[in-house]
Amino acid sequence: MTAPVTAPSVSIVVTARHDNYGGDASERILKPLLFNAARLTERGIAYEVVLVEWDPIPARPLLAEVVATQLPAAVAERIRPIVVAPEYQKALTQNPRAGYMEYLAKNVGIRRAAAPFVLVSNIDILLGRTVVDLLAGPSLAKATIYRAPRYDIKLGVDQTGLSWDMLEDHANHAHRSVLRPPLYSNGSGDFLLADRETFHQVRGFNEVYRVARAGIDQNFLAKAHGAGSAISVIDGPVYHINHVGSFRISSRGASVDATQTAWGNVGWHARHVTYNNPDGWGLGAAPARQLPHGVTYLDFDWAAVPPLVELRRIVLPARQAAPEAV
Amino acid sequence: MKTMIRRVFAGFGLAPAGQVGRLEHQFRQAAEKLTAADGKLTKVRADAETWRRRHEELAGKLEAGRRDVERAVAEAERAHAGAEHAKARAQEWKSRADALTDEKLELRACLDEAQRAAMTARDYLMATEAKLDLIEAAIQILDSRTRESAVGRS
Repeated sequence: MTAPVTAPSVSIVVTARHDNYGGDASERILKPLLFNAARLTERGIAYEVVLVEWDPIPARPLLAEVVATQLPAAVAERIRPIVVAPEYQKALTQNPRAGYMEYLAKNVGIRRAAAPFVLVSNIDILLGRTVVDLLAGPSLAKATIYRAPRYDIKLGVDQTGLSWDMLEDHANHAHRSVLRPPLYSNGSGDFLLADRETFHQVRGFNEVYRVARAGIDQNFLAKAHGAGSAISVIDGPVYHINHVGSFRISSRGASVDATQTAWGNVGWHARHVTYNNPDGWGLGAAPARQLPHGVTYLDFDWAAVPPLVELRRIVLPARQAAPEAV
Repeated sequence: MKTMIRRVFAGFGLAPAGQVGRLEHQFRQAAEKLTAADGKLTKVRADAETWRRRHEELAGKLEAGRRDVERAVAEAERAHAGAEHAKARAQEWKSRADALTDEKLELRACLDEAQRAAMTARDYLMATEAKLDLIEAAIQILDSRTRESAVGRS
């Protein structure tokens, strides 16, 4: 993997590690990467995928290496892997049961994204036709956060012939999210598209309240909305192939007790309490070095770790004129 | 001569047949006129009776109308008095309504203020809950780190 030849117009920020979460890596990670790469290339979109490998598993090869060796060169060269030293997970956690700090990992990618527009998504999300059309066109606006609904594809569906026709077939849908104003937040961790400046103004996802994994994406929208960013819904979905362990499947009946779920306190006030991340958000002060396969490795340094608690950084969002659905 | 003879006969109450005939004719005419006048008189009397009855009817109606007018005037006077009363009542109710409207606006303002205060309090409460979550989480993390380091030293 090397730096893309042409400057990207969009950076796609995703995070994953080689832990077989949600199923075999080749099914869940490589196929969506290949699918999205093919669709973006067909439309001539200059893109990069910022793949943040957070808390890598010591006994297993890096996902970055798997991607580099198993994907075609044309796809691999568009992928910019950033591996984060595993010590950060332990140093940053406020809730050991809420494991993988997905949104801190995404902040690492957002902070380092090179393109003027940044799409924050998940590794197993398949881009829909309308979304790719939007990325290919000239109509992306600044200071606007674009949202797309997520359609879940049935668990265990055969992915051999992945195509838009298959994804768009209603018979293959297990669930279709509906986005409601003002935040249009349902499943926003799967699709948040905005210009890089907006992401930097908001300073990424909440790094102050690290007790929960759930609701952090919605919390980002609450902050951005309060800060005056427009939120616009794209008239077409992204797709997600259901897997065991996904929040939608596994969170039903989950306790709201912060100590009892793998997503932390799912009942926290994500719509109403926001944050003011420190200057070093996204591990901005973490020392970086280059590894083979174009991997950037962020070494551990306490200087990059924010204090365990900074209560003054918990703030209330500014209210906007639009009526708020509570 | 003729005139003399006539005067003589007239002295005995006699008159020439022609004169008698003329007088009879005049008498018949007068009788006929009298009969006609009687008929006319009878008709006039009947007409007078009819007109008298109509007069009486009209007078009755006029009297009834006059009484109606008097009643209407009385009613109008009563209605006028009632209207004045109702106007006074309406004015009173309007004053009360104005006072209640003012009171309502005042209450609405108080309610709005209370809602704002409640919303602000709710916001602060939620922020405080989030901060408490953080404090509790930090204590737990520090506790586990302390235990780990203590175990490491022992």
